[in-house]
Amino acid sequence: MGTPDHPRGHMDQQHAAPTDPSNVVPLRVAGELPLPLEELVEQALRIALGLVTLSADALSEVVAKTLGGQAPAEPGGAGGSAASLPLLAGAAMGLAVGVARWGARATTTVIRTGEIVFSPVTTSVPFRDGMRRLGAKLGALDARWREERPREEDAAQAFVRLLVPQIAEAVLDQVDLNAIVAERVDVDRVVEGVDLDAVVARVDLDAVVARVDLDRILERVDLGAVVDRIPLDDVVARIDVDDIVARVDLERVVDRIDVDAVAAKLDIEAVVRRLDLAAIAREVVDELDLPEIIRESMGSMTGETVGGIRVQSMNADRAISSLVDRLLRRSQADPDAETPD
Amino acid sequence: MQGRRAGVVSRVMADAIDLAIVLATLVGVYVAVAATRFLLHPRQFTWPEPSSLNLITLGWLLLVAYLAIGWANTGRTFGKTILGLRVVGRDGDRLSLARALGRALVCAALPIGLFWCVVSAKNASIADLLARSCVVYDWEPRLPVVS
Repeated sequence: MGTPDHPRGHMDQQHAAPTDPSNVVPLRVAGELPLPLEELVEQALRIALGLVTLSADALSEVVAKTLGGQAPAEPGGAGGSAASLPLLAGAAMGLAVGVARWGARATTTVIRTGEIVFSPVTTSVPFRDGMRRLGAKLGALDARWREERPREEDAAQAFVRLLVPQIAEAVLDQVDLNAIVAERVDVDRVVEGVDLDAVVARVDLDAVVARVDLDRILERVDLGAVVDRIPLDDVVARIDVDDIVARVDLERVVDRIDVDAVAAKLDIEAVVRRLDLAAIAREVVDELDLPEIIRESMGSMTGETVGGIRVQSMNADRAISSLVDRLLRRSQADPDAETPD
Repeated sequence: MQGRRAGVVSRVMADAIDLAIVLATLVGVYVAVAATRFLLHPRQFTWPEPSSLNLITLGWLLLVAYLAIGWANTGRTFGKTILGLRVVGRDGDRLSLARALGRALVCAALPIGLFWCVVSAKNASIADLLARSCVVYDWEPRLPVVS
């Protein structure tokens, strides 16, 4: 990985060299036609040399880091004595490649010459019989190998399964993965590439909620502390109780109340038993002034009758008095005549 | 009209009520005497047969006592209470027992003297003239302030 500024370009540069066709050693895989003997030998030598080269590079780098120095410079870098050792090593490798190519050709030539020289022998009947018997024995050995191969492979796989975790653990102990991730991983870019909506869409929230033990959570909640932090006075001050009451349809509420059922549930006898009716009656009678009430009621009943009699008799008095005054030709409305002296 | 002298109609009605009360009382006395006689001599019980003179005398005495006590006490009898009348002196004061008794004797002896108030310019009966009293409208339970 490179810096966030040019991550893609850096990676392309690193991968560009191995993809150069001129530097690629074509590898043959199973199913393809067998190589000529000369090319087969040359390729085997090239692989061996490549492994040696890589091992040498890694070994030299490890040695340099262990000793606290700088890794050896790349070929073609700064000149001088520091670059002389890799230069000699490269020259030795080039020489080895040439020798290997030459040796392959020589070996091929020797083998083909041998085939020609020993062809009378190899084409003779005894030799062919011997080779046939040898082939039969080799075929029997091969069959035996094929028969035992699964067991050998199982043993090897078991060994590898035991060995790999230990190796991996030993390697991870030596590696600071946190530092590597912090140094080489662009977390922001990784997060940008993640479709969180898709992730959330794939989450089964019902299953997650079903796994949550709400009872345990609620047991850990201090409701008293939560309520203490709520300014109830402010909350209550913001509630318009009049508005709430105005929204309540009391008539509907009352209509839904089954008064008969409520009355049926009441134990009126128990209530009456708990009342001291005698004391209540005494208190009520004490509060009432019955004689006064009777007096007032009687007075109000007789008052109107008596008042009517009085008024009518008084009018009759005045009528007779005025009649007598007219008969006697006496002046009326003498104040002194109707008041005491 | 409070405090003004009452006319003949009101006074006659009040006296009629008083007379009825006295007659009822007289009947009560007769019943009481009969009951007493029955309790004392049940076997020989007969209804008392008082003479007319005794009845009239007893009734007359009851009437005088009834009128005199009422006028001297509150200035009115039961009949005058119903009609809203009160007997007072000419100065508006309550009658003394002697004046009330004298007025009661005159009224009981000469009931017709009541009708003198018809022709009297001051609505005064014979008893009023002799006892120097007057009868006024007074519906209040207290003595009137005579103007």
